[in-house]
Amino acid sequence: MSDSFPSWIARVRNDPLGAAGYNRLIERAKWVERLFLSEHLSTNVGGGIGEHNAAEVPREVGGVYVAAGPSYAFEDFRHARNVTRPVIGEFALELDPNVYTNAAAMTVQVQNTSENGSNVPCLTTFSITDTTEILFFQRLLTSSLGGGNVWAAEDESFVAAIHGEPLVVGAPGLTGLQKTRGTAISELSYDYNGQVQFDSDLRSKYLLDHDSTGKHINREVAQTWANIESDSGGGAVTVLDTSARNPLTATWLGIGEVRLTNTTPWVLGAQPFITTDYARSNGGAVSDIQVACCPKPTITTTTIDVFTYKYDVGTATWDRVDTDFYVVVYAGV
Amino acid sequence: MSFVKLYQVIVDGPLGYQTVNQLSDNAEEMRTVMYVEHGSHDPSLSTVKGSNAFNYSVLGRHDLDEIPRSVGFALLFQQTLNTTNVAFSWSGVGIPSVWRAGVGGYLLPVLGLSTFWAVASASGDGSSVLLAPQVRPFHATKANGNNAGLRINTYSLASGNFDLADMSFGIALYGTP
Repeated sequence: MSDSFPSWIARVRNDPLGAAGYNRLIERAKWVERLFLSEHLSTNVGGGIGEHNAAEVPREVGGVYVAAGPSYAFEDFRHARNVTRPVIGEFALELDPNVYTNAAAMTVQVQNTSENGSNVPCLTTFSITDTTEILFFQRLLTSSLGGGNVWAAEDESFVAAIHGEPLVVGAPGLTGLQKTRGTAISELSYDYNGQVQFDSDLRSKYLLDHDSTGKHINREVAQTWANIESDSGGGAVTVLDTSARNPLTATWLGIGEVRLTNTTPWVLGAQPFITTDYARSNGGAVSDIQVACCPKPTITTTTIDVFTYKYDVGTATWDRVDTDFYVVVYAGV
Repeated sequence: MSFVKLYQVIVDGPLGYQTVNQLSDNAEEMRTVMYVEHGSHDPSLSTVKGSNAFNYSVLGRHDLDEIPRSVGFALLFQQTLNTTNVAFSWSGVGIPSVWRAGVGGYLLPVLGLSTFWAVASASGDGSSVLLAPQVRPFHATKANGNNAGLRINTYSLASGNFDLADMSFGIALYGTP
């Protein structure tokens, strides 16, 4: 690899370290710290020194689970403080204002995960009130498939990934003091021992969201993704492309129903986001209107079921449809 | 090589060559593991400086298909003379702008990705039924191969039917450089 990482000549027995050698150790450590801090935090945000700090990496990913009752709970969000239900079909997610500093630089990925999604299409939309609140609205098709286009507000489960503006990264760590010719290295906390502390602290920050092999192990970085193709003629699906780090396989279960299987189990509470592509049956065209649902009860540690629906503009009705789609799955490991 | 947590020393404690080599190796190990899922292209060594703006693998930047290459929020607003327009706040290299191509129709050019797709989420106040935006990526391996970008159509329920309608939406672009 070609980069500006300062080189190092390995010392051997009785080889003097010298001022230049010691300074080079500091330079190498600072170089790596700059690499790390380019998209990670040095300061503490909601309990996570070393947390990711790029707009492209969601600041938090989680969901609201509506169980029978109706009762509801929010799950897995890293910073969000609470969720309330002002009216049927609307949830207000209370955010930590220390985490989001600019509402105009926020965005959201959202996916309905209602159990009703296995029978009829369901929808979730969002509205960013300010840096302290996001509203989510749920709608459910109350007419049957093939029987109309009537929608109503309904309390439904959903998952969301919330992106925010990067925060001030925070102060870099303190290294040992640089040396000049003739100055000695001491054991003091601002000298060699400070350098050892710096080395350890940086590693600790790194290990918050990464493992020792370099892989991300936080929920805010998706575990896997795939592009699923519905085969012409129906009855089967093909995985056109999938994650190299954690491949998905797919099985056709019925019209508009595909089971995705993960090779490496994830932690429950996985958050899938689905985008439909071309419909391959029922006269599919680029202009098709489709909805994808992913009922939470079908999400296990290794599988996710995806249900896809198509709107018929001529008859104003909905029906199941085999369609290509993309999916990305966020989850804990 | 692997990271080894070092001991602090006490006064007059010797600092051996293996210890200082390990301190050096620790930095190198951190660099190695960071490069697994983060960029390694060093802009300071690039001979074509402007090209760094379009590089997904710039030093320290997340470089993984599982992480959006670009995210943004397309905000609809009314200009003078009641003209609808779209403002776009975004981050990342992939999507430089959003073009409104008609009522409920948007074109998003995509830069520097060989294959790509996106999650788009409708934004509204709950007063009407908004479908999830219909996203169709166009790239060389697809039927409409054009390597142009994304086409997004947005629909709202009106008079019992779903019609094209303008709305704000969030977008997360995924893909492979």
